[in-house]
Amino acid sequence: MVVVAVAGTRPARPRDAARAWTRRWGLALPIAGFLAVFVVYPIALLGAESLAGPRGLTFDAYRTLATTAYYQAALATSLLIATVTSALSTGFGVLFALALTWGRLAGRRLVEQLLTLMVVVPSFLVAFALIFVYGTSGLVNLGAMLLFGLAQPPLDFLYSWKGVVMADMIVFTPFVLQAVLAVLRLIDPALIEMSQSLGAGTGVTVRRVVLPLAASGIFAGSSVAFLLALNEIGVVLFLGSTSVVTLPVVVYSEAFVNQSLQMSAAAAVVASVMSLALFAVYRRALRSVLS
Amino acid sequence: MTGLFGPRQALVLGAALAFFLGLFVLLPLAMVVLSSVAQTWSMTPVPSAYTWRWFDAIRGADLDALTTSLVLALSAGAVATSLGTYAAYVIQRRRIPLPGVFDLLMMCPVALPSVVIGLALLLAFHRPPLALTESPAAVFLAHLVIVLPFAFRTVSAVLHEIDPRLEEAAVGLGASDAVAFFRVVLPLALPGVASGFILSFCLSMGELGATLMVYPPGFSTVTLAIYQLATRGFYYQGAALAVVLLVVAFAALLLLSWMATRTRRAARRLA
Repeated sequence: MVVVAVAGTRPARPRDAARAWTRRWGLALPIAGFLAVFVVYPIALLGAESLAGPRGLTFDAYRTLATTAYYQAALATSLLIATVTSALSTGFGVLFALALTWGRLAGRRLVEQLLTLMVVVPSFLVAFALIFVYGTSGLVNLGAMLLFGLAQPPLDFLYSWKGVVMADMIVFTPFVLQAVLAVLRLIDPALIEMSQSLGAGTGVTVRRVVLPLAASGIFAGSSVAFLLALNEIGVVLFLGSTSVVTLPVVVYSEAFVNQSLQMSAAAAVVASVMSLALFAVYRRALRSVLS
Repeated sequence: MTGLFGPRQALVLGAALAFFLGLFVLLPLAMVVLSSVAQTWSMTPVPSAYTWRWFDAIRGADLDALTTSLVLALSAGAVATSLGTYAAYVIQRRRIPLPGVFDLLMMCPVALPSVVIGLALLLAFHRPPLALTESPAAVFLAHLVIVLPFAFRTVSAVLHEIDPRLEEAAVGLGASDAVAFFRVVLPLALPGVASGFILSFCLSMGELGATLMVYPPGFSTVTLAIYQLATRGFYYQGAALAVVLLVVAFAALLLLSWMATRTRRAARRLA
């Protein structure tokens, strides 16, 4: 802190203070400019577009969103998919984090590397790949029809919200896993030995010692899975956007199918308000996962 | 680690993990790869004949889409990494005003659906002075806004690990702020900058939602091409493009881990 020491040896003059202020703002200027023009202004325009009527303000778009069954169902579907995805990803993520930390697994490094690779696999590609296995003429259905002489494909869930949950769950489990692995690494093994030497079985130790200590990571992982599943569009588009309509699908189809930028913007505002509210709550949790 | 689980419990957990990876990750990926080289494939467990023709079919429009994606991902990745590094540095180290607000705004696109970001940019830049939506610039911009938080976060995390006293020492010895940044901070942060770049590159290669909102007529990326092939029912050809996309992304990650190993070795040699 040499600079501070020098500044401290003589009384700070107003001109120095002004210059320091200008310098600090000068450094911030490029970021402030970028964020203002390319993030804040476009997002603010969403609100303006959704409220712009032929004669001043109108809330018609929001009224339509709130009262039409189609849009209500879209919101409900979004929340359903996000909730179930988050629950499943968290369940699997926690289980696998425990297995990787204390399971003495062969090929543990390999599994961990595979999971790192999965982070760069685009979500829609997972949905696309699932079609080859669980789709109507995918491996499982064709195999079952051949083996058991069935006339109809027995598995018929992929092109519904369940299929979307399956793909989302596969995409977001690695996020939960990483968050939980990070907190499990910090647990002192002595605590577990102590719990066991006091007579607690595995179940009790996991429930009473490990999970409470891992709570922050579990919360971070599950909230990220919820938020990202809420915002996901690629998976839904690949698994049939006609049958599964979520809020992001409404944003897309109002703009390009129904040619109504106003409805699209209103849906986008609803989605943004929800996502940004969650973001505000989850912010610290998100930090630990998305880096 | 000591045993939390008995041998039977460990076995069950291991089996669950293997099932998950096998049924949900490896089998689907293997099916995509197999489909991409399948000549004909119906009513048999594996394709009855193999062919390269789906890969040969990647020419013309699809090849253009691939080139476009690569150029887009490299440029969006480069700009996002530069801007993200600058932002991470000044927010953490240079006492700019309102650091919390800047950090929040840098991160907030992460929380928004990609279609919303696409729509917002579409509304903002579809008329003069900045009429970008008739040009690929709109797609570049959308990718930049979407990947920037990831580059920013990655570099921020690495900057946290670098002792501020090193930079102060450089300034104390007479280096200007710029020299201290380029000669001291940046070299130390380079592994983080590199992984920020690779992460941005991969995310941009796989971006679909925002691209779908803003792409101009006659423009395509790999993801758009795969989407269009899949919706028209050309699954084998879509699979071939998907394999190319995966190979590019995995190659980028391998490059990163190779660089990381080299840096670690160099650090060990110094120590």
